[in-house]
Amino acid sequence: MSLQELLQQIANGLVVGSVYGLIALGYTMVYGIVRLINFAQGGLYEVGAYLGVFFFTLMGKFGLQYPIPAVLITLVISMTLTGALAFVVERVAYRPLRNAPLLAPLVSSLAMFFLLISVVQVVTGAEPLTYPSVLSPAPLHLGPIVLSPTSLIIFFAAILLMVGMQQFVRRTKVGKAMRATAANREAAALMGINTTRIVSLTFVLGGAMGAAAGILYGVNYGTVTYDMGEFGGLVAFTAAVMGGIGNVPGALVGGLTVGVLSSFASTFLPNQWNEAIVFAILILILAIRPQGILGERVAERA
Amino acid sequence: MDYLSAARERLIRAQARVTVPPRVQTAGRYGFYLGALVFASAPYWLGGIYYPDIWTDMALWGTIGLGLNVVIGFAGLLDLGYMAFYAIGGYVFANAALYHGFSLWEAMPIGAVLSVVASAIIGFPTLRVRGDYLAIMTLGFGGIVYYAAQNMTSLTGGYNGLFGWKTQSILGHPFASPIDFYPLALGLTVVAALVTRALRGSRVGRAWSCIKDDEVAAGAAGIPIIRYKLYAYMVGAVWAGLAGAIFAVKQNIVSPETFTFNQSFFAVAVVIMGGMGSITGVILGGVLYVVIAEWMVTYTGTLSGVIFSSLLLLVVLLRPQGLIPFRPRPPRWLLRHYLEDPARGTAGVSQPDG
Repeated sequence: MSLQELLQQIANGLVVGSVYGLIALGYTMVYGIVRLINFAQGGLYEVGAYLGVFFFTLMGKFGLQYPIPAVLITLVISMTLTGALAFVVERVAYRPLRNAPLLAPLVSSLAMFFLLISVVQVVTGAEPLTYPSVLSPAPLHLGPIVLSPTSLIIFFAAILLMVGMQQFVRRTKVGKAMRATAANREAAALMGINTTRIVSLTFVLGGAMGAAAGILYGVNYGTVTYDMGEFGGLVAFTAAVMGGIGNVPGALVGGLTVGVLSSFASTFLPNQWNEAIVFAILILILAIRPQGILGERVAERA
Repeated sequence: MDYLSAARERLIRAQARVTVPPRVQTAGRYGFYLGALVFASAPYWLGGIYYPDIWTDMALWGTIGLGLNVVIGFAGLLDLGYMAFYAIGGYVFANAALYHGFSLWEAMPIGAVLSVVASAIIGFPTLRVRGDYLAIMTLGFGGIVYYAAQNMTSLTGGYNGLFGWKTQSILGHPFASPIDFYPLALGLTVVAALVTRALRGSRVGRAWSCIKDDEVAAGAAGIPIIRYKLYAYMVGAVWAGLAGAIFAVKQNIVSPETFTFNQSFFAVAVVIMGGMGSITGVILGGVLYVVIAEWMVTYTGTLSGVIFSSLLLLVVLLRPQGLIPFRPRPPRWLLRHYLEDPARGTAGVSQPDG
């Protein structure tokens, strides 16, 4: 592989990885607060992507042609709706089981995930949907690397959202309350923090990030399929674990790492092995370094 | 709820309520056996091809439920890639029958052994991680097996799958129509039910139950946790490996589409809905799954995923113990011991902490 190919693969991997990082953010934030793998995150990502198609098409009908406002409006509306859906998910599938054994909320969030993707499948008839190409397809030449303007925008949008989320958690008062709840829920409640509301908010923010990732994915690849949530969810979970689950900047690092790794894997092996490689990476990481790259060892909970 | 306090509560309740006369109890038990017998023999008096086929599916899903029940219900480990072992059983049979001239009888144990080997290989690194990480890792393993089935064309036939072996037979009696497979599948279910039931009450089963209730306490009590988890995982894999071979013979084809994540999810749903740890409950779960899935395919098309996940959600939220819950029952000698002198029930055991 020449240097130019190497750089190109890294660039492709970074673009895909930034989208994974966004989904991973949803996993990692929810995990940090309630110590639960929210399987539904993959479903929310998919629902967000499909809402994106719907609103893009709707705006096209009303003659809104300018690409950037169209992307922005779609992002905002879909993120809001998916956030609301995440709120419902938390209310229905997580809150009643807060004090149940670990198995119960895991199964209920799994059922929720399956429900979301099944609903998408039924509503869309299991047909892949096409994203309208909103940005000019002319490729950009950045030194030896060729990238479409779309992927550049996606990369920066994803990074911007992730950095924004990290600043929100680090600098605002609500963010401080989130960190306090993650550190010790009872103590946070005693300090007057409404931890129930913080948990809700975390699910909503995670869902919104998932929706943003779904739309960026759709804009980048041009099509969305009803089973994208399954694979996307798993890859993003790999990313979250790799970065150290519960660790917000770790989601970004993990996402980019997984993106670049799978991009390399696809150059050395036939394309259809891509998914299997990601799963193998996932198992290896969990077996060898479950605390992730940046993470500290997660306390055991029996 | 731990073993002894559960026993004591049962005793207190039994003494408090007007007890059902033993004769009625016996009648109820025989009524249940009779009902089960009538239901299990239904394909013979309903006849045709359709019903035996459906009933064979029920028996196979009952077996899948029983196998996964060891992992989820007994040991409390969430396995989201269980159908990988079903796939291994099926593909091992197909390869053995097509290329090496093995019969079903010779191929089934090989498939089971290879399933167990695979479960040991995957279980050894995965079982030391926490419960929710384990769920994800098994999901990844199921995914790898699925994609391997699609891509390793020389071994699995790729998307098209493997087919075209000669008709299997036992003692000169060929397996040609669905009614021929039914006794085989049903027999496997019965064996799985008896073996897992015996295991549940054995030393290993009690160790599993301790690990499920409180892993730290089980470790402190001297149970080698990882080894016993690995046992549960391996014992679970046996049944999927055996059922997978029968499924392959029945379908006349093994292809990746029957081993997707969806199938593994349905297997988990069968165990949770039926009642974790309960033999009767899990078999009922398998029967219900086939009935619902079959009914859906006929009448509602793609809605099956929606209805099934909603049902699972409802069960987890409203009846987390499942449709027929497993009630741990102490051995008879212990019960008699307590019944003779109820005071011992409170004096000998310290108060449970809620």
